[in-house]
Amino acid sequence: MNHDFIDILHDRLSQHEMAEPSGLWQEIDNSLGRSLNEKKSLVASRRNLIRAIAGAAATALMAVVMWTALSDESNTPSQGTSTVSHANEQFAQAHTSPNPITQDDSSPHEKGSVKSPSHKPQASVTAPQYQSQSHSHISNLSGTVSQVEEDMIAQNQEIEHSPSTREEPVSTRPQGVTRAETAQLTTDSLTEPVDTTMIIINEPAPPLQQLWAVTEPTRNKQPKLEFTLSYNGNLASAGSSGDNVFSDSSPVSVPENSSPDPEEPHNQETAIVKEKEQMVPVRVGLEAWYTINEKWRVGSGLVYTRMTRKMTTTYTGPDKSTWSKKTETASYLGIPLEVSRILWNRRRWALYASAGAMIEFNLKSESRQETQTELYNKKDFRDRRPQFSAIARLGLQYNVADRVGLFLEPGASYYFHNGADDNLYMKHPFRFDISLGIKLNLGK
Amino acid sequence: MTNSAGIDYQQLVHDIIKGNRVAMQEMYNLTVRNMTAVCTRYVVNQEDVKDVLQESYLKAFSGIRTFTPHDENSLMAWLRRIVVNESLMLLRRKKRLNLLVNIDDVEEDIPEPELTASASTMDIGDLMALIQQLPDGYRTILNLYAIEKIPHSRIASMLGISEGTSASQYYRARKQLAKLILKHQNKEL
Repeated sequence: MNHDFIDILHDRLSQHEMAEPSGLWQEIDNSLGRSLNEKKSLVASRRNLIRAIAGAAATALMAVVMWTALSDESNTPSQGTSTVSHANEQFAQAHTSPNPITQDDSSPHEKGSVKSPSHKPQASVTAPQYQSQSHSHISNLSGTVSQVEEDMIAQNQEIEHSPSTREEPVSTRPQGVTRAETAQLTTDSLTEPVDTTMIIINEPAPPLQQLWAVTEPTRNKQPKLEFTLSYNGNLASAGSSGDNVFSDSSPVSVPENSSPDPEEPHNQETAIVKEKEQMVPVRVGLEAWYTINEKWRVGSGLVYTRMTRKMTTTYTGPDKSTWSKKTETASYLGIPLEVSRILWNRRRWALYASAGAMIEFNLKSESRQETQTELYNKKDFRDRRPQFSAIARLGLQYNVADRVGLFLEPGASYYFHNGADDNLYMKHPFRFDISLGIKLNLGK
Repeated sequence: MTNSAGIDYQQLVHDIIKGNRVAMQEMYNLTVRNMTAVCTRYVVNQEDVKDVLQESYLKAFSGIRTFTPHDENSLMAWLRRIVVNESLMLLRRKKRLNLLVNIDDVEEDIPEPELTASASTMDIGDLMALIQQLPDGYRTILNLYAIEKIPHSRIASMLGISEGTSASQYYRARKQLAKLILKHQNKEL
């Protein structure tokens, strides 16, 4: 048998025509109409799904914000304010309490000399043995102490109206630090020492103690609630399930060196095949972070990932070269859950580490194949199984304003095999990436 | 770009991309007879032929936006490849691509001039019928190599077999077809 027999077959059959099956065009026409409706309904259903997810996320977000706002109103700031008020009340009560010294009727001099307006502090306990001494000295002392107390009241009022100290709880200082020193100075003129400690002890804690908190070293206070908007780009990836690469479920490959001209002879000699892969994942996310304490935070949100993988195969034979290109795209919607720990925090900078996991759902996966002769072959390989991954990141944040910060997060992810053969994540399950974004502080 | 019949294929493709059903039907009318013959060479059952053609045209209409038509031949060649792909996918789905070598199929050589003469003169419908009598595996490789001009290396990758298997299957298919042609010729005589 020789080549002529084959040529005859080719010549006679390649241009042969036959009657088409009856009703074929009607079925094609019906399918075109159905596919158009299916596309519309599919688009509508996906739109509804996205709207539902966005609505649920927005509702959850609003609930968290409201809970945070309401819980903050009943917490520290008001307590701090009430604490300050309470201290002031105690202070005022102490000032209005009867002074055993001044009420001593046996000393007309004392009566006349002691000025004790209601807001001025008076000795609430019996003066020690020195009371029998000159009352004038004591009256001088109480007059001097009153002056100090007037200063303290003025400072108290100033502090009370200061917003920076309103939130701070009133801590108890060692009582009478300022007053004792002042009292000590004023007693220098006295011939006998006067025990003023008893006077001091019963005084309420002055609001001046709040100044202590103000003078502490400046640290960034962690907000209760933060929102982040991030963009993630792939740095590198490792681990490939095979660079030979077209998914197994793809249709039969297109004959690459087939020529539109049936008369052109073909060549069966071995050809050189080169393959080149390019993979570009892009991810954007919106997350909410809740502060547990100064060090720890927990966060979750929504992350959208779009991956495009392009494979180009070049077929170089002795007589000609052809190419084929395959493009695979996949879209995922993910829900991460992460825990973050602040490692270092000063002024406007913060360094933190976070780890967690994410579950992703494949919204759409599609492959498209083209050859040099422009054959188009499209396939949908959406994976309905959820995709789990583990995440670890190191972050650096700079607060450009009180409520706005910029962050940079290099990190790594590992994608667990979910049993799908066409999953683009499985081409490179281990990835390094970097995220950058904005943090918005909505807490107090 | 137009052909001798005055059809502007670029405009035709442009209209199909826009979803013009009239343009789609025109393309269908221009190509369906040839595509039916191509499909029938691979798929014997008429219902399967109808399914393959329907799927092929739907894919062609949806994917035509990436195709740049030069002339009628390029459109036909492009569409033919879609039909061949769909035919092979159906055969694979129905597991009809039996490519095991049967030693009993080996025949002695047949005189060349007699075979060539028979192949040149016999009715083409009869020739098609004889091809359809071949086993699915033989028929597929014979079509791919002899008619579509695809080398054995590519056939091997398409069907998931070795190049040697493709070549041996083609050799046996050719032998089988030659035997059928001569048998048919002897009957007519």
